[in-house]
Amino acid sequence: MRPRGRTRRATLWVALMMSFALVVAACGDDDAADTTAATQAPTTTAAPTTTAAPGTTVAGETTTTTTTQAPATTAPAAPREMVFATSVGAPSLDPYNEISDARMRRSPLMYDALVDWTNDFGVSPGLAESWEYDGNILRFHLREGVVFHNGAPMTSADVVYSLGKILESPGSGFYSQIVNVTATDDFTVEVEVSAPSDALLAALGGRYAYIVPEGAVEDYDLAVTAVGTGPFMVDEFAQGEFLRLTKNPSHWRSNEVGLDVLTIVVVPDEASIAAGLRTGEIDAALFEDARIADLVEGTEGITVFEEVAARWDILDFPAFDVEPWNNTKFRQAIVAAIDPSAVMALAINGRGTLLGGHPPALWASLPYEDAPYAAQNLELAATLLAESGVDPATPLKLISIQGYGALNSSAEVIADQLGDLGLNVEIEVQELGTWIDSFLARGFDTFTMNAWGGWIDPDMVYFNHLHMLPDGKDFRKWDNQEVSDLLDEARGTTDRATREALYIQIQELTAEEVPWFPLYSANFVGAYGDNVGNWGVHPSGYYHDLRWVTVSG
Amino acid sequence: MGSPHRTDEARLEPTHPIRTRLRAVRRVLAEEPLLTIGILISFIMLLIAIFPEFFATYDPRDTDALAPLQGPSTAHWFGTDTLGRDVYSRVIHGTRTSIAVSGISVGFALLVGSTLGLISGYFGGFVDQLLGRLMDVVFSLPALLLAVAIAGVLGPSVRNAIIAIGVVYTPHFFRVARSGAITMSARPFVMASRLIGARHRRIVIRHILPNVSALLMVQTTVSFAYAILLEASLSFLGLGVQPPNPSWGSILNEGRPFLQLAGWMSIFPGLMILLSVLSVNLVGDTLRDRWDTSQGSG
Amino acid sequence: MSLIPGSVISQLVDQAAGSDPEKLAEMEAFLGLDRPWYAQLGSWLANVVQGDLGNSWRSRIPVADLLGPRLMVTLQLSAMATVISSLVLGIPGGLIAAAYKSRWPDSVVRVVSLLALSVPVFWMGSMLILVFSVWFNWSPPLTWVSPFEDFGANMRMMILPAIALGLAGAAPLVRMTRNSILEVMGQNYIRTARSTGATEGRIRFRHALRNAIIPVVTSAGLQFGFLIGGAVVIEEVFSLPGVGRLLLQAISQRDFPVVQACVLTIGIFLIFLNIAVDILYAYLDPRIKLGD
Repeated sequence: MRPRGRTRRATLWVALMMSFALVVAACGDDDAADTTAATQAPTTTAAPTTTAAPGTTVAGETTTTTTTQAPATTAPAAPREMVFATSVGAPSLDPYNEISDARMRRSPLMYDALVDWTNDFGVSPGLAESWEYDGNILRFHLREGVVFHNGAPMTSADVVYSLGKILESPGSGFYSQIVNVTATDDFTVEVEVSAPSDALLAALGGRYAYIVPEGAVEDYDLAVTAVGTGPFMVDEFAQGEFLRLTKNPSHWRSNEVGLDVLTIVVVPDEASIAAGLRTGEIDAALFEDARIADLVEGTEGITVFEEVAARWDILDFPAFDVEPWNNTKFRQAIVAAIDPSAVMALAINGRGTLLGGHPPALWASLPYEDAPYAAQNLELAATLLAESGVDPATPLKLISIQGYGALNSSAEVIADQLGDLGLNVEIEVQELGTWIDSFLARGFDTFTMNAWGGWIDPDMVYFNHLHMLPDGKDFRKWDNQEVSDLLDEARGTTDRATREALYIQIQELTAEEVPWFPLYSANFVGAYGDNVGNWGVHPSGYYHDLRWVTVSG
Repeated sequence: MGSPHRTDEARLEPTHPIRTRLRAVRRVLAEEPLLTIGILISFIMLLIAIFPEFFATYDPRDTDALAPLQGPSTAHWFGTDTLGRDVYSRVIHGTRTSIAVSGISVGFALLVGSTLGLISGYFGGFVDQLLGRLMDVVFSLPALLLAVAIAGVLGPSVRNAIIAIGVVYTPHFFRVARSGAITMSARPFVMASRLIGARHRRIVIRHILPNVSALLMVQTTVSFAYAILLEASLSFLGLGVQPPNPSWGSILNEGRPFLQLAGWMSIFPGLMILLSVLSVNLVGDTLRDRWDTSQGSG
Repeated sequence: MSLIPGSVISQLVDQAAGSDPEKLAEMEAFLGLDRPWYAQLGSWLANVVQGDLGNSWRSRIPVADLLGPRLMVTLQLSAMATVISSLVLGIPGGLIAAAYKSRWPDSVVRVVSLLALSVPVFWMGSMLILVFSVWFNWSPPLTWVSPFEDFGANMRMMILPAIALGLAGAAPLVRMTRNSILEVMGQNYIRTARSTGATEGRIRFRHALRNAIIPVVTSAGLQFGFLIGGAVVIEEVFSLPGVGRLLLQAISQRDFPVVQACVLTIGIFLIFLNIAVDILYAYLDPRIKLGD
């Protein structure tokens, strides 16, 4: 029958491809084997040293990785395990090259930084026991007796090496005030800065600012393993699937660490996370989509919680150079016509906070009630629109970003609400890459949805975005001298009260002039079983607090 | 699938005048109830696609903060989605997008595939070798995988989804047209036309094309059914029609996270796809039996 | 690749950090993206021929390391779906249709297989999840388990996706089996067998099935390849860590070495599958010799 005819054609065609394919297949396998061996080499060398070094301090604990052994003399009866679920996996674990938020969330479990973050965005001692500004010198006094996962003791040489890597990372912008780093002795590091800054100190507490042993970037494949001083060590990392961590028994706060094994599983379908929580396969989870929490809300033995977050979704006006967007009354009219509570209700199921300025998770935030146009006022909006002199029939384009469900939902509600004011809004959803390129190039000629977060200091919310060129990026082409002066003034001092007053002033200005309209700050929504204790969520969303979680039963 | 050189001759024989054909169509319809059902449903789908406003009960983009995720009721037959929009009206309006995208894609594939196929089969030689190999490569990869890769690399949009689906189905038309052209070129009257110096274009259009058109029509029907499925898959994966525009696949995409919370967002658009693809398949299957062309799955 | 809107660079550079153009240029040069697309493609192909699939742009992990374990998931899924679509659905369905040719079971089989052909694979998957999770409280294991490690857990995870995928592949096999049987039943040797007084059942299973099954087996083999395509979307629906999900993830991250490697690997696999099917066909059918 048929295949007979095709045999000849296929053989002809296949003969052409075959030599090529064979080469690829054969070499491909070899190569795969080689690279796995290469990536595993450092891990396997690391393992014996880890078990050897802490053997002097905590003998019994070192067997935790091999769970089959049960000496039962010093080790607890059963390892305390927790399964934590999220729908977002880290592409790699590399602390200096991986830019995804998912990696940054996981890093504090495996690495320590010079300072640690408190939940109100202050800093507390980390690998540095204390520090002080001495003119333009920021001096860190390092903790002694800290050991890396590979057994090497941590000294100032490691910190100097790591800071070098941090300054080469894609996040180097956070650390741009650093001029020079020197070690004055084994446990003292001096960082020369261009000007004393609170923001820099906070930046040294996370994101890229992790400390590795000297030479680690060259000696280990930090994309798939971790060599830090953190409270957990990598047992297995399966990209896109799970990250299994075991307790680091020689950590300087190991008596506060509540878990022997922490497994972070990546479950892309969040409904499955809800199901896993109900069956007990999952102990705790954070949801990306707040609505999923409804699936477990009210289930016995499961607690659903919300926690404020340092992130926001805003309506952005990055086109101050074109009509009608340069018309302040027109922007105010648009803002006054929008009901942010309805937007929040539909976009994130109401699980968020309404905003006047930046989110209250970060200090010095302006309350919703104090922003003049934030609440919906259709009458005011109609008056402002009439005063602006802009023809309501002008077709408007609202840009949103692909893959951002909450932004797209918000955009549709906003378009619908602006329709009530008589405006004619079409939504255009752009691909993320295209959107970022236009935004960075200041190329927008209409309004757009925007979302970002991850600040650890108010300076990060405003400086790049609103400061005039060339110091800031002024993405909105606002070109505002007043706000630039205020931002400079806030950068020039480390006094918290003065800075607080300045940032409130900046927010009052943005609430009046509306270069953007903060819609809401989506809370972190999560759930955990009754057996989980002592868990909170840091407003950055990073997993700092998983370090101290306990499980029972 | 088969080698076209020998097997296709029998299929291309009959060329009836129009009136005889009409009579034959009537007889076929009476004999094949499934075909009649298929044509009927297809016709209704077409009406929905052309006049969605007539069938819809709400504006498909009207949000309602007070009624998100409500189950099917007399007010909202298919329930409401996360933004309180009427799922029934969105499915109705999505019909146009889904059918238009699939239709344009298949039209693209028909035009490009059959043109290249006719050229390839008629002239043979190097052009035939080159095009044939190229089409074999495209044909040998699974349709969905290829479409996902093309749409993904070009970037998610309706236009790129059309290109992706069109490219995937081009080889199907190429093969049909090419085998027809080869068979017909060997016919005495075509050879005669060539000998008396008729232009190639005239020969292809006047003599060859009419004789492969029936097969191309069957292929169009079959491909159209697959194209609807492919468009739905791409949009479901977020690589096709983008929100806020509704298409069956993009509504399913929006409903996916809420499968267990709001199953109606997933059930009804899927049923609509099933119904429309089934109707086209009923037509295509009968036609295929009648003309006995054997094409594999796509 | 010049067609790609937005580049991986803009995704790699941290937005909040404020990306300066120098950094962008530096990273482009590092990844080789400052060269024209044909030069990029050329050097990629040159590396592939040497067995180097390159590193993921996004995570810098070797592509081969990412692809290896995921390929196993996809192959297992497609293999199970092939078995379901041929042995469980296609061949029995075709046999029934052929045995009752032009009677009601034939029509029922035809309509059902047309229905199966018309269902979107991913929607069938969603409906299975809906039914099984709501009615039977079914939930799969959270992470993928190899069948050699824990067969039960693996099946719990794979059986529903395989059924959804297998249904989609069954229709052509039903048709193939039915037509093949009917063709064989009309052959001379069957008539000969009948004239020797063999029972109808014996004829059907001893003579007809044995010969009719040959093209069915080969087309089931080819079906395997097409089911790999369907696996892309089914993996996404059931959250299985296979090549399909890797491909979609790579697409959303504009990680082109991974996209190219996924398509290439499956393409090469299909070429080998075709060879295997051709050899199998020649082996099963004594009338065909290799090298014909």
